[in-house]
Amino acid sequence: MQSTSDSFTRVSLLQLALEDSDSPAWEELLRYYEPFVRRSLFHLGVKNPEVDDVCQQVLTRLWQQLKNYRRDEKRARFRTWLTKLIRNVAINDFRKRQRAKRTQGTDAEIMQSLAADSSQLEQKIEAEWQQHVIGLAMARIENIFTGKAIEVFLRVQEGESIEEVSESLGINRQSARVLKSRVKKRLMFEVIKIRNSLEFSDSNP
Amino acid sequence: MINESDTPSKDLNFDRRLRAIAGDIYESTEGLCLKDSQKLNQEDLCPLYDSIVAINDRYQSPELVGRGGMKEVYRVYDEKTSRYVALAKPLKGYSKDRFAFKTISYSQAMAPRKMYIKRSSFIQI
Repeated sequence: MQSTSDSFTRVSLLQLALEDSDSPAWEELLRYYEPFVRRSLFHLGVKNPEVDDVCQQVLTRLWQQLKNYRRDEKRARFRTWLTKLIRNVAINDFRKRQRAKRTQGTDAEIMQSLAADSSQLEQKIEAEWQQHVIGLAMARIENIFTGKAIEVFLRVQEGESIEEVSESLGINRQSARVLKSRVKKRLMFEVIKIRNSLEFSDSNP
Repeated sequence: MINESDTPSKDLNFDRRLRAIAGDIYESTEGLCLKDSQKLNQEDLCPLYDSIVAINDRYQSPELVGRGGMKEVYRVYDEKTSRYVALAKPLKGYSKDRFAFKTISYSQAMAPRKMYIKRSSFIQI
């Protein structure tokens, strides 16, 4: 069996998982999707006691239906498809619980309002995915950069000028500029690698 | 490669700040492939050189330090060399050619200190 760690640089994790449903790539893939699915469910209004259960249902459905997604010639964008999958599982589970009268009034309102507006939900889940990917990338580069580098980058991204940042952190402007540039490039490098591993290219079937 | 240690930061404030910029960073990688990421990493090998080359507005933070009959002298920060230098600008109406001639004369007379013409100003280091 092909080692996942050897393959990530050439073949996406999703592609590996798709080719072999027993591949260790699946475990890796689910591990990286799980926090994202949890946070998406949280946005849907799913509360803590139910999140574990619903999250497992979503991941199981992902595992079962990924092949169908790739076979569908008229398929939507991958995250649109995934968003629908998360939403459908969450709503089905909610309805089951509603029938069992285990939901509270506010939960029901949140779920119903989100279920009614799918574009709003898609936007939220898209934003959640972007934040998830950037979080993973930042976790990687935190071990590479020390000291003030990441702080310089964040402040500049937040709108402070190089002059303000260099003055408040006590470093010269040239260093601040270099640090910001290094962190940004490295972060983008990691984001591209992560996206290559965890996302399907929408243009290449 | 995805590592075992990969986990999002647990610091809430850091997480909040990261969330605020996530969209822009993510969008900036739209349509880029692994080859592009390797190129980005290559560029990362010369960040100082790249950042110097990228400077368009070299002389920053001008402070007027004196004014004579033909020019004004400013203290400016040179972004390319990371130090303060003197920058002289001819006053309005003063002949630029005469200004250029004086700059060259000063430069020769004041060697080894450098002086050169930058558009219609001269820089003294």
